[in-house]
Amino acid sequence: MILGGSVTTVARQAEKGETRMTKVSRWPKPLMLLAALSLVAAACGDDDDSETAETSGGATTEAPVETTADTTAPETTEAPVETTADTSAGTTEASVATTAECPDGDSVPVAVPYEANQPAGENWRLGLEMAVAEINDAGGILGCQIVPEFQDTQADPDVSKQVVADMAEGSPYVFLGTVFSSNTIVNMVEAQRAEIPMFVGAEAPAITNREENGDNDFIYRTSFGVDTAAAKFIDYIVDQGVTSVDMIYKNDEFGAGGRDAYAAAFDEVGIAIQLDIQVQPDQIDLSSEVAQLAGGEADAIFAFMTEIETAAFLDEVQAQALEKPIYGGDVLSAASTIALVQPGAADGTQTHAGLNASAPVFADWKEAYAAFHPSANPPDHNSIKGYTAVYIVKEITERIGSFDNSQFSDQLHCATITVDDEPGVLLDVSYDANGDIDRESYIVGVVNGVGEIVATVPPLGNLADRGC
Amino acid sequence: MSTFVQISFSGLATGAIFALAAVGFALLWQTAGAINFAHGEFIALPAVIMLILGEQRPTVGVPEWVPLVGGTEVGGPLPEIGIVAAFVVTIPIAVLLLGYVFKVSLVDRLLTPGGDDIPLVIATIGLGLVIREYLRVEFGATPQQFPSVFGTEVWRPGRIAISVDDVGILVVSVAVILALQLYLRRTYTGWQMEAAAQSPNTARVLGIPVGRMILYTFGINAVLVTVAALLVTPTTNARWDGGISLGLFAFTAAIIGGFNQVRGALFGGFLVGLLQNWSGYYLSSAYRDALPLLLMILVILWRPQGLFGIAEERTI
Amino acid sequence: MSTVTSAPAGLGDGQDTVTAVERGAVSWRLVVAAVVATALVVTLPVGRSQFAGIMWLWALALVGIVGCNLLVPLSSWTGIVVKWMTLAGCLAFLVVFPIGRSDSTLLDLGLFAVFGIVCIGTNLVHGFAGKVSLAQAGFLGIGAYVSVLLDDGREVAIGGMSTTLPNVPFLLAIAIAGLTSMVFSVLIGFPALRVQGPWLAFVTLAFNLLVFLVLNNEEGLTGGSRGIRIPRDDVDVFGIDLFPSRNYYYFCLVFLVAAVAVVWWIVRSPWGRAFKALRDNPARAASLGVDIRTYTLLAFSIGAGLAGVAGALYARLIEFVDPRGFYIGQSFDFFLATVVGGLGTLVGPLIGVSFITVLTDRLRVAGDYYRVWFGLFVVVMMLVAPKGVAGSFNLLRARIQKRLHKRLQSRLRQRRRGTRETP
Repeated sequence: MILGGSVTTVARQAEKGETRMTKVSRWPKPLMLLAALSLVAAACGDDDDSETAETSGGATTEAPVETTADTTAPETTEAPVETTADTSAGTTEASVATTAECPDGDSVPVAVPYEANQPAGENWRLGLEMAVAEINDAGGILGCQIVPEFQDTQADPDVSKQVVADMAEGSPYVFLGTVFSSNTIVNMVEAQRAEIPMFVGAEAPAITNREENGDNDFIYRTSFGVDTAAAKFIDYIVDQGVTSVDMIYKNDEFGAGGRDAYAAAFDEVGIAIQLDIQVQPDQIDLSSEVAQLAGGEADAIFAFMTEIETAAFLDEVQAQALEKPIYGGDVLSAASTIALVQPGAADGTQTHAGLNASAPVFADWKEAYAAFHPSANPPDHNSIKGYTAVYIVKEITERIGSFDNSQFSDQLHCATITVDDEPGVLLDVSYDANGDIDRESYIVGVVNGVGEIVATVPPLGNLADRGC
Repeated sequence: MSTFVQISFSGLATGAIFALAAVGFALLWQTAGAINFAHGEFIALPAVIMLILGEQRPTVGVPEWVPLVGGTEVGGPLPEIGIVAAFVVTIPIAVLLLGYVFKVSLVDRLLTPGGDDIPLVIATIGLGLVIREYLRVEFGATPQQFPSVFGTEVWRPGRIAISVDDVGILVVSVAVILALQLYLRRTYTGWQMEAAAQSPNTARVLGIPVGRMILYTFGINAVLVTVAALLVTPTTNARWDGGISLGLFAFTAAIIGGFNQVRGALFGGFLVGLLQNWSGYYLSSAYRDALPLLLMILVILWRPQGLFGIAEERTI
Repeated sequence: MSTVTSAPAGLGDGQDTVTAVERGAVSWRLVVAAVVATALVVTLPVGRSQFAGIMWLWALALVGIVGCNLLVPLSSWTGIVVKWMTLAGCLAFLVVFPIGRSDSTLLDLGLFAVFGIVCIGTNLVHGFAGKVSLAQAGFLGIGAYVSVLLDDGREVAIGGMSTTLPNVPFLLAIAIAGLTSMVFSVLIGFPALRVQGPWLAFVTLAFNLLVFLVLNNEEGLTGGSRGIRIPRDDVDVFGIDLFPSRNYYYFCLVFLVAAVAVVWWIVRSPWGRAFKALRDNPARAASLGVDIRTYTLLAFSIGAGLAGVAGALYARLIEFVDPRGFYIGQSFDFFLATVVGGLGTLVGPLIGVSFITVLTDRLRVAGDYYRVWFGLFVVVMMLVAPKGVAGSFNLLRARIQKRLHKRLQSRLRQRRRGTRETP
């Protein structure tokens, strides 16, 4: 071992050796195992306790039902669901006489697993909080106050699975989250097994692909899948006379997913992909990548990265004076990205934005958002996703007429919610039979550091082709 | 050719960032035997403090609990003093928190002479977690833009582009590291510190105040991380998890360059920055981080004193 | 410190004849107490209709077991009875506890079992062989991906060549996963294990990063950053369907118990003694003829193999693999768990794992700051108990027994004086 001071090291080594020689290693310490297990048990026990406490604290008549149901719950995954269904059926029957039809006292519990440590998750939560506050102020859903429970998934797939499984036990009315595709792909299984509807901000195509998601009736997007976005953007790119592109994308599930979807779309319309460059997560120096792009011969550049890398990329493009049209996903022209780049670096980029806060339709909403969250960053597409998710839940619940979440898929699949029905959805939105959405979207170009709407892309309107 | 110059220059600038981050890490390891796995967070924290003091953005404001302690609420909101003044104010804060408090509360208790260094490593991993997660909860997960002291201008001599910020980082980091090297090698205090680091017992016998010398080291490290934060953050942005990747490349740079020389961190940083950009351009951008890592493994296995370090006797 | 630690050994050796009578009475009561307490602990958590009173009784029983273990010298026969009682109780607890529990609890327990296997491996490398490895998550990842790739006749392409992998039964896939990790560990360990301490840590860290890069970039082989979904519903072993969470948890538990048994056996075998000699003083061990290189490599590769097996189990537990799950952060977690639990003890890693899986999961109710609390917990743990939970428990036991021993001796002395005086 080489340390700065080798003498110290030797001395330390020698002493270490001595102390260890005298130490009698005794095994086993079984009790420590027990202590560990007790920790496990105590923790789980606590959980159970709190549940019991909750139920007993809430509607008293329900408590025994749920507890017994839970105790006898067989090991199958369907159990909690059946229980919920039973109880809620029982409750509704019982409560016909009374007027209370809320799932829990006078409130409706909503589970929000989200990536607290990521900008996307944070904005999702902020938008969601705003919608919840608005709805609760206006009397709630069917007279019931929404009580969201926020839980951090650390953007880690196995933690998110744990979190969702955990929350599913509390039988929330719906799940609102998660935003990361890699998380959602893992945790949506838990919501599906518990038969609780789940609204996600994730955009990976696989999430709503019935062949890949095990015929999941309980998953609903709040924004376009990236494949839908690509289908909507591609015509515009073709119209710009682009015949070949160089792609640059972040080498993680988000960037690679976007790259795949757009590559397929480019392929379909005959746009050749020349360079295919990856950017590493947290990479701060993109000069070699931009130099490669500068040497490329393609007509345009297509970029699909998250905020940090996009900002570094745009700065480097500006520094190297690369004069090519740059297209990309929502992030490229999002306010959160523009806030990070050098003045003018984002100008001239064009993106397809499913939900871009700079679109005029969102102007009022944006003001309300700034008033509601005075110290937050400007809202981005994830804030709008979180916001509209709550209103979609509200509208669908009102259409069902009760808090029966087993009817969600019947009610929501192939449904259209217009702004007249529910102003909170901000834009007319339709769902297909897989939980994918269709709505108007925008081509946004950045001019003088502000995203401006270049063109409006009408809804695809092909719900009939998509199982409806 | 211009491309080669371009990416090499950028690589050097990025390397200077790594070097600045690495030098404090190397210094602590060399002089106090303390491996600080929270070093990346030690750079992220002053950056946020500077933003709070300097700009008073609504998103990065004074945390709610601070007025309770400092009573700033009485005097109204803090003035916007700009980032340079904030840097000056932050230095004593950093020296106190990341230097003195860190040394007294953790290092002194966990790094007893002849003891195991693992508890300190674990404690710094825990400390890094605390700093990171605190920053996230307090200021949010969204990265914040950080103003550059050198401005955003770009020079274009010929076909290459040189940003003033990059030049500034290069010049300052080389100057800082060389100054530190000279200080350690050419001043009396520097000699005392070096002696205290190389052999504390002998140094004690010779009448060198070893404890105070180690305290100086922690103070210098705190100043270094603050300087690093000022120069690095315009590139990396102020964010809660900025310390992770920065810390990682700082370790890599410090090891490749060699620990027992302050200048080793500088050359190691340059080498890492250059290798990344060269392999990113000429080989594959997917594996741009792989080459420095491979080099680090090779260096540890065959030249543990680092490429630019001085060989010392080696214990198995 | 060293005198304290060595005290009970003396206690066991010299004083047996003197204290046999005295200890018999005390120990008999202790054994009964331990039996009752263990039985309570094992049976009480069954069923979910717990109320506060029972929880208190349960906690009391736990304290009882801890107390019995603190009071009984390990070398005495009562010590052995209490020890095995407690051990059997723990196992029974792990088996009984999941009955009637929900899926999320089973997922917690499953992660506990899987990461437990990894940390037992980490502990073998670090706690017994004295080498810091920060590549355990890399080996976990290698194991996970190998098992996933071998499940379904997948087509893979790497470096322009493509081939179809065979569909291998799950048990065999687990074995292959473990072996592959071992092979990689030998490849990296053979050159790397000559360096020590922090240097080895950095080499293994770099290796883990390289594994991550390969998993993330070789899309033809691993599917890249998008990960692979791998539902458990097609897995059965010996006709037992592993799809239900409880079955799968028991399946993982079997491997955990096997891992503990393997390490227990290794530590007791001549190998284990060589390991310990090596950790305590490599130079001395070398001079006594221990082949350092081979033995450390052996420990390193067994640790990696355990991580590989755990990886195969992990993939089916989460039903998804992606490279980010095997990033260095995970390695730091394993390292942290092992040290906080107690290096060089058999159960220490399991305690540590319960911290990083169950404790962090349950801490989430503490609100936004829960990760901060966890970090502070780790820092404070290192300040008050740098030897980890198990190590500190040993020190505590040694101190208590030293004190007990003194009191016993003085009482005996008094009695002897008394018997001398009576006639």
